Amino acid sequence: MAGQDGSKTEIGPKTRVVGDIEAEEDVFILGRVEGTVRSTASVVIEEDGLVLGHVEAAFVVVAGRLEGTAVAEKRMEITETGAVLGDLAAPALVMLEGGAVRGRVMMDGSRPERAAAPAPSRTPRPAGPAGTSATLARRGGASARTAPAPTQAASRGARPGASRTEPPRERPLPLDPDAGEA
Amino acid sequence: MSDTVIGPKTLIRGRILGEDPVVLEGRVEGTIRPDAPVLIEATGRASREVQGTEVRVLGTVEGNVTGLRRVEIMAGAQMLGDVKTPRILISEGAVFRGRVEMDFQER
Amino acid sequence: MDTEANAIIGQGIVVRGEVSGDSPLTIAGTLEGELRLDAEATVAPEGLVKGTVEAPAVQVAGQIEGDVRASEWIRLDPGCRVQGTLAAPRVIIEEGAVLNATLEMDVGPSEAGGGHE
Repeated sequence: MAGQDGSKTEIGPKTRVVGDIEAEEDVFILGRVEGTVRSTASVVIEEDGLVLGHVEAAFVVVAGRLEGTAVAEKRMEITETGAVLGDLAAPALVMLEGGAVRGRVMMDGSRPERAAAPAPSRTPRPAGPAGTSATLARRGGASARTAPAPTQAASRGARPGASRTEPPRERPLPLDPDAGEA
Repeated sequence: MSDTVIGPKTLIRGRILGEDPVVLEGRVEGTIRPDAPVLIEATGRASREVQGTEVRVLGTVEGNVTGLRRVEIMAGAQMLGDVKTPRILISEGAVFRGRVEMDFQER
Repeated sequence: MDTEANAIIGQGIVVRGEVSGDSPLTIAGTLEGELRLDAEATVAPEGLVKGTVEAPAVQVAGQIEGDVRASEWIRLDPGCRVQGTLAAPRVIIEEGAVLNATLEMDVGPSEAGGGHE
């Protein structure tokens, strides 16, 4: 999955990339990418990471937020913090409790229409930390207790080898949306 | 502080912005312009524009480089383009073709 | 599947029409129509539902063609096959579940508006 030498690309939490990323190594997104991210290995949108656009890779892990489309050639995982607004295609897909998708999920080999990606909203969001409201909404809820205990399959969680979604690191919230424009 | 690392097998076409230091081991066609230091490693290739608080080049740059505080062009580097910075270091063994503008105001 | 289901549509049984109730129901046979339940609905591995399911919680190990609306959660077990629309605050998809479906979950407002050039 990783480059044989363990090489990787990491988009830092306060970094914004506008454009396309093409990699033959794992790509970890902790910041914000507006464009297409392709890898022959894994693309991991880490918690607090945001991709607006299209993701395509052998393995795709969404622990942050994706607005757009994603295709995993092998496997896709949406973790308990992951949120997707858009269409997904993968031969195998796992979503942990807390993950959320608004869109189509295709496991029959068809691929999402790139054009179907949600258009950028015209109303700028209020200046708040990204995704907080959604996260709170998903995590709140008194009925959380009634959820079924995770079965073994879910708790095994089978992550694609090298992907590294877990460490809930302490770090500042993602980009101030207007930061970075010198 | 977390860095942004563009791995040796990665190509980015576009702009890299933000506040994380950028380490380029792969290729960027476009603009690298963080409010932080930029390091172009020996395997790194940047074309068009690089700007950082400090820019250190060990690899290849075809384009203009701005170092708000300093620019270092190290041995092995290949620089084709103009440099704007208040302080510059060009090491022995660096290849540099371009102009240097040093009356650039430190910010 | 050994929940407290005190109602079972057994294997080999076909029900066409609307089924409603307030106790847990397990479908191991076939239901063509609507299921409206105030308790947990379970589609067993042999079960097939063609139509609409509305319940607080829905666990699917079998097959569903249609719309599932749960006020709490939907769990898709390994080996299930789902076609249609799934709407619930929480959806869990386990390894080995197969779906070609539209998910309607709350993902919050779009963040695409921020970060203009």
